[in-house]
Amino acid sequence: MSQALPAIGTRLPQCAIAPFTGAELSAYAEISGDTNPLHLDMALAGKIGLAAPPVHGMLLLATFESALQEWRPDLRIERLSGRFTQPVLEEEAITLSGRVVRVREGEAPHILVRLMANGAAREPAVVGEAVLVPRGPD
Amino acid sequence: MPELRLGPFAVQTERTRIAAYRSATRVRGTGVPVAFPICWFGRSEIRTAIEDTCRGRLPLHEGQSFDYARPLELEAEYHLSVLLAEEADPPRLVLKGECQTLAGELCLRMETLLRLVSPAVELPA
Repeated sequence: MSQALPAIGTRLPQCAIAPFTGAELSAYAEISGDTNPLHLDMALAGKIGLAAPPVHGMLLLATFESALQEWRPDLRIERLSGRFTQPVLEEEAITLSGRVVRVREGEAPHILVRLMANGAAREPAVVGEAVLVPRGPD
Repeated sequence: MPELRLGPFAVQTERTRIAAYRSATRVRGTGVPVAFPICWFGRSEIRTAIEDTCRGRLPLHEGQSFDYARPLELEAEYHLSVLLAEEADPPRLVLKGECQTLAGELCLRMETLLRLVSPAVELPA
């Protein structure tokens, strides 16, 4: 049975993500087909001023799914979006956070959650949004 | 550059590939992960079109969205069509993907924004 939708202002439990390793970036490149050398080549990352290869933005965005679904397993992610605004480097810890900014009851119930992923930089690495809707009967 | 239409391509939600995706991303759960369809943009026809448009510039992933009309099912086949467009100011490549069931019902729209930067370094081929 579905719980009541959360109120505006409800925060997701803050979620710490262990750093991604170079081997994990390689594994993600292989499965996703995103073989942009910037994510895999330490020397190339260094040439553009980064201390290590940056984690794929999509890898960061994907981590929100588990955080959202473990917070509210009765809701389904209907929309997920993100802007990749700062690099998070391999071996850098990541924190996910989020807050409910819109709640709609009635015929098309849903919530809108504003999301952020932060690495070591002060500014967020990913600023995103998710729309969650009650799961239908399986 | 005029818009370039690619596909439709047959794409699948194979359990084995999704298991590998879950392992690489640490995304827990069952079913098809929300962001899994980005892997379909890795197919050679789409990558070649992106590389041709980059013309030596480095594509930096600037933004991404997934907008579901209905969830995808495991072990199913879908049709993916892609519209690729280049913007001049700032230099950017926009990929809009639309995934439909084989019966033509819309499942998913996804959009990828790639900022094109001219690196000060020579990129590996």
